[in-house]
Parts: sequence; C-alpha cells; structure tokens
Amino acid sequence: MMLRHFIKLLLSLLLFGVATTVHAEAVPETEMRAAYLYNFALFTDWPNPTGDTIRLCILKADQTDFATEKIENKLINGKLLTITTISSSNAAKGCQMLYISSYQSSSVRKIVAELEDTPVLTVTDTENGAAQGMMIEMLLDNNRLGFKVNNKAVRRANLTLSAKLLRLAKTIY
Amino acid sequence: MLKANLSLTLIRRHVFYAWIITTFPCAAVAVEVTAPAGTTPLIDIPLDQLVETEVITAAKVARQVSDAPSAVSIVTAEDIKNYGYRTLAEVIGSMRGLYTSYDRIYTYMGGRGFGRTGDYAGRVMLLIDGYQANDNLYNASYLGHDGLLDTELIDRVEYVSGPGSVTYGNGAFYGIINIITKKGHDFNGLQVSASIGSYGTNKERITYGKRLDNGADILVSTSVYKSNGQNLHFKEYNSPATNNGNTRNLDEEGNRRYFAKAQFEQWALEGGYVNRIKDDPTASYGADFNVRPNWVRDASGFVSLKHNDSIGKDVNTSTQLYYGQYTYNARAAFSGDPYKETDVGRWWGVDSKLTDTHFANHKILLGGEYRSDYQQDFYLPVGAVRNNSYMASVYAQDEYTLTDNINLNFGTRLDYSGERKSSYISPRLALMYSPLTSTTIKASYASAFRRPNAYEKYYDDGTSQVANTGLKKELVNAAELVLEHRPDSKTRLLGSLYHYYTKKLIASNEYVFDSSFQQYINLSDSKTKGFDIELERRWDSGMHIRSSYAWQLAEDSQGLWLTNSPKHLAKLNFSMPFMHKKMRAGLDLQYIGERASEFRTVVGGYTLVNLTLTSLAIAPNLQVSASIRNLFARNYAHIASSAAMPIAAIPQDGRNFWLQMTYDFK
Repeated sequence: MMLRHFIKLLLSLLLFGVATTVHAEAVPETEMRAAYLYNFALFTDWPNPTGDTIRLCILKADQTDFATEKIENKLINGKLLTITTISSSNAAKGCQMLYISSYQSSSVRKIVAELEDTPVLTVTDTENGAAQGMMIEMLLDNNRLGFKVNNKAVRRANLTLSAKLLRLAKTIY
Repeated sequence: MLKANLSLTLIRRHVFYAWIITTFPCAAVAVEVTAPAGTTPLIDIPLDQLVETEVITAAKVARQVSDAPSAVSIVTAEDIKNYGYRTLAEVIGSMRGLYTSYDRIYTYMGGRGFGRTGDYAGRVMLLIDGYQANDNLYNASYLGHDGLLDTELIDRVEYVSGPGSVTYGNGAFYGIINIITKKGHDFNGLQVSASIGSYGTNKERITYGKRLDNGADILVSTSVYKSNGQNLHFKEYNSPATNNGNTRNLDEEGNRRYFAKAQFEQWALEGGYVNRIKDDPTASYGADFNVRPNWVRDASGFVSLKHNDSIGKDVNTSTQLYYGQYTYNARAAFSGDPYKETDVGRWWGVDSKLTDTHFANHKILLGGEYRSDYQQDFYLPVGAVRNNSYMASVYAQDEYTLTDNINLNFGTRLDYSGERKSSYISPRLALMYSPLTSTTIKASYASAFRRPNAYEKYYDDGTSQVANTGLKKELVNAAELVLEHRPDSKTRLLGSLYHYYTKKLIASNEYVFDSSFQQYINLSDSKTKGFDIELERRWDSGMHIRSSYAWQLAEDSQGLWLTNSPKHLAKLNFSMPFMHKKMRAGLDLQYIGERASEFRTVVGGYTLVNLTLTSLAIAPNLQVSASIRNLFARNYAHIASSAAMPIAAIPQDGRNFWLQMTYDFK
C-alpha cells in the first residue's frame, strides 16, 4: 500500500534528522539590529556638540523593526541615547541618527537629497542603500548581520567614523 | 455547515492522523536540548564579536509592495515552501475569498462572485514582475502546469482585490495577481530538485542563480513535469457505447519550462517559456468520448526589458518593453473524423511611467502605454479567422497627503482601441484614513472595463461556436471599504466590504437560431455584494497562522444566483516547526460552499485538508518535503463548463502524495 511506504519513508527521514542535531546560540534579528545601531552611535563623532543626548530618529512605520527598548536611554560616552519617532523624513534634520527600514526603499533617494551634507548619520536596511547615498547599510548574509559604509557620504556630512568600525565593514564606498 | 464538515472529517479515525498526533510530540521531546542562555546584554558585546554571531530572522507579516489603495493578500516564498504549493492555482486556492476550478484541462480562478468554469478570461490580470501574462486570444491566466513559472521561483504572490483598470487598463476587472520572482541571489548557486507523486507524476528542476561582484544578478532555470494521470469515470457517459463512462489513459499531462532573468544597475531583462500538453478526458465540445487522440497544447512565452532611472531627486522613471506569444494546438475526433486546430497570438508593447514627488504632499504618477496585438489568429478546419488590434493609453494618478493621517488617491486612465476606434475611461477615487498608526481605513470607488477577447468575438468553427462581432465591452463599478489593522509587525487583520455592479457581462449562451451552438453575448447586468476578513500572525518561534472567511452573493439582473459562485469560503493555514526547527509541518484547510452548476443544479460544498512536512536537517543543503493533498480522501467535484456538456460536475483527485528533494550546491 502506497500510504504505508510513505509513512516508512517519512519516519526514516525523521529519525535521520534527529541524528544530525546541531546547536548554535543565535540572537533575534531585531535585537541584533538594535545593538548595531548602538555601536554605530558609539563609533561616530559628530562635528557640532550634540548636548547631553544622541537622538536616533525612526519613521513611524519602522518602529517594530528593531528592539528599541534594548538601547533606549542607554549611555554612550556619557550621552543619553534617545529614540524619537518622526512622521516624515523632513523632520530628521534635528536628529543625530536616522534609521530607515527596507520598506522605505522608494524614499531613499529623496531622503539622501534632503539631508545632503547635514550631520545626520543615516542607517538603512534597504538593499543597495549605501550605494544610493545612505551612510550605513545593514544586510543579512549567511544568517549574520553585516554592514556597508558609504564613507564619502559620511565625510561630506562632516561626520567621522572610527577606524574600528570601518575595519568591520563589508564594503566601503 | 463548515463546522459540521470539519467535525465530520476530524472524527474520522485514520491511521495517518493518529500517527501524526502521537509521533511528532514524542520525537520532539526526545531531542529537547536546552539552548545556552545568553546573559550578557548585546550592547556590552564588542562589535567584532557581534558580526560573527548568528541571528534568527524575525517573524514578520509581509507588507504589500503593490501600490494600491485596496485590500492586498500576500503569499510569500516561505509559505509556498511550508504549505507545499506546486502550482499558482494552489497558491491562489489558499487566499482570502479566492477559489479555483479544474476541468481536467485548465484551472479557472474564481473570486468576488465570479467564477464560471470555461470562462477563460477569468477577469483577473496576472502580472509577472510587471509583465501582463494573459494571452491575447482568450485572456487566460494559466494557473496550472500550463503557467509560465515554477512556484519555487516565486518570491511572493500578491492578490489585489478590486478593479485595477486605472493603472493597468483593459482586463484588470475584478483584481490583480501580482507575482514577484526571486533573484539569483536568493539561490546563490546551483539548485537541483526532483519530485515524485501519485498518478505516475514526476518533476525535475535545475536552477542557477548568482549575484556577481559587479552587482549584476542572474537567474536561469528549467524544469520538466510529467504525469500519467488517472482513469476516470463520468456518470453522464454511462452507456456501453461510451465504455460505461470510463476513460483509459486519457489524463496525461506534461510540460517543460524555461525562465531567465538578469539585472544590472538600472536594467532588468527577463524571459520565460512554457510548453504544456494535456489530454482531455471530458470530450469537450461533443468530441468522441474515450477516443485518442484528444489533447490540447498550450505554449506561452515572453521577453521583457525594464529600465528604471531617476531625474534629480524627485522624479523616478520606469520603462518596460515587452513581447509575448501564445500558441494553442488541439487534436480530437468528432464522430470518427479527426479534428485539428491551431491558434496563434503575438503581441508587443511599451509602457513608460514617472513618479514625481517635487510638490509637497503630492506623489504624482504619469504614464503611457502602447500595445500592439498584431496577431490574433485561429486556424480552424473551416478556415482561418485572422484579426489584429492595438491599444494606446495614458494614465495619471495623484496621492495627496491632506493631513498627517488622511490621504487622497485619485486617478484615471484613458484607453483608445484602434480596432473599435473608441476610448474608455477608468477612474478611481480612494480615501485613506489612519486614526491610529496601526490602523488604516480605505474607502474607494473604481470603474474598470474588459474588451471582448478575440475568442469571444471572432471564433467561429462551424461546429460549436458562432462569432459575435457586435460584442461590446463589459464594465464594472465597484465600491469598497477596507480596514487594515497591524497592532505589531507580527500581526495583520484585514477586512473588506464591497459592492460590485457589472454591466453587459460577456458570457457564452445558447445561440438563438440554433441551440446546438454557443455564442458569446453581452448577457446581462449583475450585482455582487460581499465581505471578507483575514487574520495573519507570525511568531518568533516560527509558527504561522493565516485564516480567512469570505461571504459573497452574486446575482444577475433577474435575481438568479451566478454559476459556480459559492456563498461561503473559509481558509486556514497553520504551520509550525518542531524538533528544534529541523522539521516543519504545514496544514492547509479550505472550505468551499455549495455552488450552482451550468444546469442550475446545486453541487455540494467541501472541506479539503492538505498537509506538508518539510525537513531541512537530513543532510547539509538538502531539503526534503512531503505533501499529502486531500488528506481525508474527500470526494468532491468542480463545476464543469458548458463545453463539457453533458457533464455537470468534474470529480477531483482523491488523497494524493508528493515527495520533493531539493539540493543546493554550495
């Protein structure tokens, strides 16, 4: 009977599957993204004094893209990291950092143009975001989060990224 | 009704069912290993260690890419894998308010009240990466093994309900199926796949995809499918002269597919071809029953070249140049005489559009399209029927942000038909209001049209159908209210309430001067009202649920319930990993309510349960997937088209199996 053969086959697949158990400690992507944003803030020098806070701005629709609670109100070199939700990218000029998820990919060019030469560190998940003028692009590769840096855009905005950060980048434009 | 059906199937004692509930939890418990707990906060771990740490991709309900102020349902590549969908028809069958009917030749799509089997047009536009894949003879979408794409090449399928003529013109009548294919990068190397299944079925596929160092992305794929099919019984032919209604070896199907795409900077080139041959066991159009040969061949192909660019910071442009062709061949015997038919359709076109965000609060879309259907030929035993036509169109839309949470979307498209020397206007007006960031309410009014296709208008074979050159376009006016609620990125609730008024519906009918012929006429007006609701949720544990219910009522101007239009449709998809995510089970449940046949008899509703098990852990880079469709061996039938007369309903497959192995060379 066909069914019995099928069950036998499945069962053997199952058992074989058990034998090859592998374990690795993995971290949820949203938390990893938050940790990266924290590190980007840590390794960036802003030209003008930013006061006591570093303002990270995110668009309303992107709130759920990273675990904001893991980094909000943490101290970075004595400054408080705050997270502000803004309704449009126009409002980003008063921020130190701006994060744009891949869902906003169609607005990348517009945002780059709007913020041109403003000292706002722009970070995105959009594919080819760095090539289009965003300063840092996070990307998933082989289940690990990596990033590309558009250092020309960084320098035009009078920002400085530490050598340590640049060393870990996958690509530097 | 649904409840009764469910409990009936659930109480059925079945060895396999029992096996599932007993074996799986035990197996999972047996290998339970506690994962080492990460205690150090991530922000205290140096970045150079973070880049080496593996991440678990977050569970997220997919967001639509189709730019439309309507209700959009989404099936992703992950769903296709987890629920074991092998054809586009199976993908569509799981979606909110949609259903398919198979007459053992073609699969027809139904939704929003309309689903007449044999209605090739189906009134839904199929887009593959922006290319309109419907042919120019029958306007058919080809959802089965006659379709252009292997489901493994699909990244996502979006169903945009409601008229889309404002953007796509002729034929985007009740909705749009928008398919986005995978990129070479998604394969990142060579992938081979082999499958076997019930009814002597097998399929092999080989795909290569890569993103090159210069950023270019390439994908090439080919597959071959073969099925011996079944010996079927049709009670309407139950007489000794027609082998007591039994067909032998007359359900065979085979296809071959090719697909390639390349993307480099702003350019994208893509092409596909499918050649499918299927036997017809139903002896359509009064052919001799259980007599070989009786087969049809459908071959579709296309090439499309797209260029995206931007002018300054505010203007984005997109231009697509396309060519498509479709060939149909048929062989059959009528009263012992051999019958032979060839139909050929060829077309090309160019569509160019730009979006402008220069003006504050406005997103303006302007576009134009020229399409030449330069060959629409039927080569029939009685002679050739030749035709050609063209369409020139312009369209404009504006998305106007009135306030922070109110958007107004309005636009119109003007199509000029060179054949009839007349133009059509398709407007749409939509208001979108977000009282909360998580909630959007969309109210829209739209109008769409569909011109009679070459088959409906000109086909005249002297035996079954009479042409009707006076056939006019059909029109639909639709009002729809949509509610979308996303409390978080893992959950999505979608509801819609609609009313459609269709004028001059094109349908085949008995020819007034000779009842042995059919003719397409502008039959009557019809009304459809309905609502549907869909809930989708993903968990970080990998669990996924998508459930929907749709109610619809479609009646013609005399108040007669439309053919093959179930009032109730319910769907449930549930999938979860087990054994430390090395295995996954996907359950697909569909309930289709009772429907009226061409003979006005009522064909009973049915509940179908499909189960797919996927394993990723058998060997590195090997994925094994096993599906059982129609798990509880439910006897059910789909409504036959008028061409299949005297057959009223077509029995569907019983419990059947499918085993697929996919290997990635990395």
